[in-house]
Amino acid sequence: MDELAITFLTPERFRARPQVGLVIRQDWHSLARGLSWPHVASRKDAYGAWCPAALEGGVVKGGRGPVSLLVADVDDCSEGAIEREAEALRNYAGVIVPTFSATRARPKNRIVLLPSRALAPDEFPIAWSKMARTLAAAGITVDKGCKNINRLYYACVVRSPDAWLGARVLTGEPIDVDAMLAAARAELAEQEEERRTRERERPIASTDRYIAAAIARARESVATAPEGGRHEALVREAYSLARFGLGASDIESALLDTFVARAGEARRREGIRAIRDSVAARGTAA
Amino acid sequence: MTQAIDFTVPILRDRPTADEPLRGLPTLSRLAIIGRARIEALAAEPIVWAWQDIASEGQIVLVAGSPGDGKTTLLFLIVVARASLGAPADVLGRRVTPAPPGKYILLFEAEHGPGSAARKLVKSCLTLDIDTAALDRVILLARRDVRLGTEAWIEARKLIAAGLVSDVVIDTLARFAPADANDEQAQAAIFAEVASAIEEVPSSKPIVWIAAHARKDASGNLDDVSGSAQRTGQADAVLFVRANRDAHKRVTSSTVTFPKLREEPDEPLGSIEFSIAKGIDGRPRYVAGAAPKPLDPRPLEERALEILETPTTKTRLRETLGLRTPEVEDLITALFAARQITKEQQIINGRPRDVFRRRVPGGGAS
Repeated sequence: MDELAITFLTPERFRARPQVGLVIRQDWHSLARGLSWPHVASRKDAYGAWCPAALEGGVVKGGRGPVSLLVADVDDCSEGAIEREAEALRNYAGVIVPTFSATRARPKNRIVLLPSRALAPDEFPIAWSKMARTLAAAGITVDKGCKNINRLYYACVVRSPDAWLGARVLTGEPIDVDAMLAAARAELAEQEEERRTRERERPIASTDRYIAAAIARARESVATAPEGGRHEALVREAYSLARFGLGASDIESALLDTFVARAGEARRREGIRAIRDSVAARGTAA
Repeated sequence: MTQAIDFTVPILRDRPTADEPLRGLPTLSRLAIIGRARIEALAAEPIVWAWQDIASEGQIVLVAGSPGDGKTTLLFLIVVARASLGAPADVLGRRVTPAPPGKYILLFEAEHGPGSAARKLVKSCLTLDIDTAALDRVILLARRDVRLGTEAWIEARKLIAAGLVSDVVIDTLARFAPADANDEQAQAAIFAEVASAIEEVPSSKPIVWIAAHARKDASGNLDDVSGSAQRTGQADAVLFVRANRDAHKRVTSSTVTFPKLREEPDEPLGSIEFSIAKGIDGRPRYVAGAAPKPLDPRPLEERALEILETPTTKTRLRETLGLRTPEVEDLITALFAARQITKEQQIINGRPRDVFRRRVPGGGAS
C-alpha cells in the first residue's frame, strides 16, 4: 500500500461527544514513526487517539470503513515480552509499542502490523481473529476488545522519559492478506465441520441420557395435556425438570416450543413466565 | 531462535494417521489402551479381588432374587465384611477383603427403615464375628426418598468422586429408580449413572452392589433378573439368590448361584447354600456350604510343597492355604530361591496359566 488511511482524533475531538475524527492518509514509514514516537504526558489521552480504519465521515460510534492496519493489545505479559514478540514477528512489517501503563516487569504493549492491502469491513473480523488465534498459538494472548473495527487507540504517550521501554520496528514484509484470509477460512470451515459432527454424534453421558429421557417424558406430557390443563402440565413438568439442576433457559428450550405449538403463539410469554416461576419455586423449595 | 509466526498457514487440528491412529483424538488418547506392550502389561497385573473370584474394584455386581429370598442378608454380610477393620472374612466360601483404610461403604437402603437396617448391620457383624467398629465406615441412607436424581444422590456422587468410597450398595434397584419403579428404562439408566459415577474416581474405583428383584418363579437364569437382558449385560457379575423353605414356607436357607462372572474362576463356583441360624450362645451363626478347614499345624512351606506335588496355580495355592496375595507371592519366591519348585505353563479353561510344582531332587520336576 502506498498510502494508508486511518482516523485520527485530536485530544479535543477525542473528548468531544459525539467523537468525530479526521481521516488522514500517510505512507507506512512516516505513520510507523508517528505511532511509535513517545510523547511525555501525565495523561494517556493527552495526545489524542487513532483508529486503524478510515471511518466514514470520521464518526467513531458505529463507524465502519476500510482497515489499513491490524492492531492487537497485549496486556497479559511478562518481562521481555516485547523482545520475544518482535522475534516471533520478525518476518512482518509493523511496530510493537509499549503502552502507557507498561513497566519492565509487565511490558504491556501494542502490536501494529501492516497488511498487503486494506481490509474491507467484512474481511476485518476474519483477519483479526486469525491474527489473534495465530498469536495465541505462539503464546501471545491479545485483548479481544481490539476486534472491534472502530476501536480507538491512544497515541504513544509515556509518563516520563525514564519509563519509556522503547518501541520495536518490524522490518519484514506486509502480511499477505489474501493468503491470511484463505487460511482463516480453512480454519473456520474445519471448526464448522467439527461443530456439525459434535451435534450429530454428541456422546451422551449417562446422566444426560437420564435427563434426556426425563425431558422427553415432560415434553410428551405437555404435548398431550388437554385444553385447560396445558398451563398446569407445563408448570408441573418445569418444576420436575428443575430438580436436575436445569435452569429456566434450559427448560424453555426443552418445553416452550411444545407448549406454544399446542397452546398458540399468543401464550408464549405466559409459558416463559410459568417456567421461570416453576424454576424459582424449585429453588425456594430446595 | 523463536519460530517465526506465519499468519498464512491455517491452524488445523491434528488428524489420525496410520502411524499415530489416536493423533488429534484427545479423549480416545486418554481412554484407550493401545498396543501389545500395554495390553500384555495390563493382562499380567494381578486381579485385586474384593470378594475372591466374584468382585474386584470398579465392578458392578447385581444380586438378584425374589423378595424375602436373602438378597439383603447377603449384601449386608458383604457390607460389614468390606467395612471390617480386621482380618478378611469368609462369605460363601470366598474371602472378602476389607476395604482399604480411610474408605467408606455407602449404603442406600430403600427397602428397610433406618432402625431395621441398623439392626441388620449389627446382626451381620455378629454373624461374621466382625467387630462393630466396622460400622464406623458405613454411611447408611435408609430412606425411601433417596433416589437417583435427588440432591442426596448428587452429593453422594461428590463423595464418590472424592475417592472416599470403596463400595456403593443399592438396595434395591427398583426403589432407587427416580420415579416409576417398574420403568425398565429408568432402572437401566441407574447402571449407566453409577458406572459414570465410578468412572469419575481417578483410581481405586469403588465396587457397586445392586440388589434387584427377579421374576416370579425365577429359575436362576440371567433372563430372570427383572426381565431385562440389558441390565444383566451392564453388570460385571450377577448373583442369583433363592430361598429354600420348609413345609411352613419359612426360609431355612438361601442358595446362591453365579450365572455371570467377569473372570472365570479356576473352579466353577456352582451353587452355594448359606443360612443364618442362632448358635447355642444365642448369637447368629453363618453357615455356608463350604465347611471350614481344620487348622494344620505343619510349617507353611511343608503344606505348600504337599499341594505342589501336583501342578497348581498361584490362585489355587493361595486359596488352599488361606493366604493373601502378597503372602503367597513371598512363599513362591522363597520356594524358588530354595530350588524346591519349578514353573511351567498349562492351558486351563482355554487360557495359558502359570502353574507351579515341586522339583524332584536332582533335576526335573516331579
